[in-house]
Amino acid sequence: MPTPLPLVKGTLDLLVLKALSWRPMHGFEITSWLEDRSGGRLDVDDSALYQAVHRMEARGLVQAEWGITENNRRARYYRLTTAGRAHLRSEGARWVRYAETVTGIITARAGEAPA
Amino acid sequence: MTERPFRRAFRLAPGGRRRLERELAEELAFHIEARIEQLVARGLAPDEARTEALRRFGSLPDARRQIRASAARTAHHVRAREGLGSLRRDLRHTLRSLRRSPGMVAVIVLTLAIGIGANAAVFGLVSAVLLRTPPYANPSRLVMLWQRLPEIGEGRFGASPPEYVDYRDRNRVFSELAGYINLDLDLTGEGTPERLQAARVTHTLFSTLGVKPFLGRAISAEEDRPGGAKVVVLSYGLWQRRFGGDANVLGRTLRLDEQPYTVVGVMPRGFQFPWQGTPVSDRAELWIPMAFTPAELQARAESYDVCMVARLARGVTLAQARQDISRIVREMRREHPDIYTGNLQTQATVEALVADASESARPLLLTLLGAVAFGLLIACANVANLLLTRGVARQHETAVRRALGASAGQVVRRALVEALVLAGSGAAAGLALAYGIVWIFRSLGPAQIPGLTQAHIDARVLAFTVFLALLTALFCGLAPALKSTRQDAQQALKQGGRQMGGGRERQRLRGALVVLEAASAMVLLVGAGLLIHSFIRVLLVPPGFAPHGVALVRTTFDRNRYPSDTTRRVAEHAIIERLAALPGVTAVGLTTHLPLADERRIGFRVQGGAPNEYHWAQNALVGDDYFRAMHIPLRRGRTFSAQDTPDAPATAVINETMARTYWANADPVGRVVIWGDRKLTIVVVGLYGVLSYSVAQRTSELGVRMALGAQPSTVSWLVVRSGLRLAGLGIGIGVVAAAGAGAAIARLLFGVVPLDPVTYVVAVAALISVSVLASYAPARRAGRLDPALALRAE
Repeated sequence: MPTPLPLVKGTLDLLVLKALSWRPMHGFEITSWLEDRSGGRLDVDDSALYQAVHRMEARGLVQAEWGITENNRRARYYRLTTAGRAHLRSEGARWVRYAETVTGIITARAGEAPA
Repeated sequence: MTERPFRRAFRLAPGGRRRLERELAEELAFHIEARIEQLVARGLAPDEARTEALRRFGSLPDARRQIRASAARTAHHVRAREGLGSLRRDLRHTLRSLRRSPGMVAVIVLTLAIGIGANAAVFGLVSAVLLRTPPYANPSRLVMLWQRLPEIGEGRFGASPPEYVDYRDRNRVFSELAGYINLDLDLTGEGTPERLQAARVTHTLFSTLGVKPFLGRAISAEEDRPGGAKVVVLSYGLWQRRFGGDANVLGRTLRLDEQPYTVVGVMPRGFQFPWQGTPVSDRAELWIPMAFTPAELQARAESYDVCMVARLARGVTLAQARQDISRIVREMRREHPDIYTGNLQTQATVEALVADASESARPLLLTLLGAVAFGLLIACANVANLLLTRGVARQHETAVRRALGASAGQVVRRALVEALVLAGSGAAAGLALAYGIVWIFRSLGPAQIPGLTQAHIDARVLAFTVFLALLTALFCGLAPALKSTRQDAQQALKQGGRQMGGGRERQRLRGALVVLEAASAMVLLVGAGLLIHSFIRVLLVPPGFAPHGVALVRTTFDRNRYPSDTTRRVAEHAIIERLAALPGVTAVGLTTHLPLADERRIGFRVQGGAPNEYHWAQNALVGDDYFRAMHIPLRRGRTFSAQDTPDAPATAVINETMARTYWANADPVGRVVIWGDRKLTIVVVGLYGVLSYSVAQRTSELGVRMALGAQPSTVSWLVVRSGLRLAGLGIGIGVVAAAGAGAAIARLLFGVVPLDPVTYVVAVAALISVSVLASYAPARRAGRLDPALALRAE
């Protein structure tokens, strides 16, 4: 297992929203999804994840409902609201632009003008 | 856990803090356990897995604290959103379930509508007529002074000018007393000539009423003397209508009855006097000085035209005023024994002005108010009963919902929504009805009732009646729901569907309601019947002339424009000849007053009778061909002819009933009928609703009977019989009550005795028919029941 990368501030919300854009999930499903997708390279603190979903629930970006898992256990499921979907779209695009810009700057060779 | 993991089973409304804590704990515990399972699956030992899971989670207390804060915020939003959503769901469910029982819904809505509508409307009418305040200063201190001639007949009269002067100068109880005479004046000159309602008033009138003119001044003492300047004060309405509200109207000259009058003042908007003149069109539009002539001031007891209004002096009561006025009458009679003899036994009375105006309409309106208030109570009782029955019938459904996890709050809320939907619909329909009723009365009501034209729906009354109806609906809709939440769901489920006849106590209550309704319906039917009967009798009284095909032309021959009788007669002849020459005209007659339409009363004495033995008669001065034009048959003697000139001996034609008693004016009767009819609907609808519903409630009992071998016809008969027994009891009670009520309205009746057998028979027959109908329809259904189905029904 490679050493996990600490999460850059502000990206967790985006990642959770992205996970939920596929389908409604409960908290553990979200962590599993992130671990799968990142190949275990992202270090997501479980408590931080729950804080994030609850915070986003309060902001109306996700909505929670109790449901039953495949194994007949009660779990709290989260799904995207319309506001959450819009947030994902705009913040996602911003993140990509930001990352590209930073990448462009720090990968440029000496003397080369920034793109 | 991937495919279809999201299966909604419960809807949990976010509750208080405790629930929040519990749910948070549950969510986190689930996470930890899931993590442990995952790690164990990857090969860790359970102990290690637990340690690792907790490590990965991080600081549990910190997380909890933060999450808790967010969750509290969320809960707030969710509550609002979910509340709205489930309200919509409840509403949908309610509408669906109400659609399944359209009959009950119709009865409830109709009952509430009539109850609410009638109450709001009648209160609107009553408050317009009885409770309005006259536009005068301190109106409760104003009184009307009337003379009465008990030996000659009922009724109140004004005074003759000398009597007026006596009352004015001798009383010790009034701070001011004013006299007025109602009259019509022809306004000619500029613009269209018109005939206006006016009043000759003493200069004290406006100060007695405590009202100052809006423009200019009132009539002065100098102008209220014989030969004083001819001035006129206009009403605000006339000023607007005729002069466009021109402020320069003061000082202008009007021609009234061909005499020039100078405008000196305009009264404020909303001022009206006399207070009794009801319809706006009948109210005085201008006031001129009384200015009694010396001849008028000598003519004691020869006329009764001068009406009197006075203001009680400080500290004087109505009773003291009456005593003082009686003293003055005694003095007058002692001083003029030659005049106050025979049946001219003048008396006088003092009435409060506010009450006075609507004295005649008061009992009628109060009766009406009582009747509709009673009607609203019946309506509420009906609705209560139907909702209770429905709520009880739904206890089974409620129990099922409770067993499936619905909270008590949810059950109660649904009942609340249903009650609100029903009461709301009833209130809306009632509002429409109230507006309709008031509109009808304003446009068609008897003109004699003062203030009727100003009737409107009083917002407060409406709010009150709607509130009452809502309260009823809420109370009755909620009571069963609340009860069911306290009940053990299992027990309710076991009981449900095994209710025979809807419970003994409830049946007794419903029975009492049926009896009450039948009784009140009986009273109303008899009352309405007597009034309708009276109205028909009034219509059937032969007027003594043939009103068909008679055209009427009204005109005035003004004394000043036609100063001599000769010139007037020449003009009359010219008009008659020109009218008679028109094609299709068979006869043209002249009259000063029309029968039944105009009122002109004169006192007369019969030759050979006691001196000063006066009687009253309606009369008219008529021309040659009047009787032929009106198709009034001649019984004896002759009609007028060319020989009846002014110089010939005076002649008169009298009618057959002149010697008999003079029939009273029964005008209001016709209008009352409408009420009787409308009130009836409430009770009949209610009676039908309750009777048929109570039969429907016995479905399972009837099923048992039929399962045990009862014939369908036997079952039907059983149902009809029990319905009729209750209705019969009610009708019996109603007959007794109606007899009492009939005596109370005896004064309003004409040509019908209060115990008129025809009315009673018709009323009883009508109610029995309704009762039979109300129990027969469900009885037929009961007879066709499949016993097995009926047993399971509920």
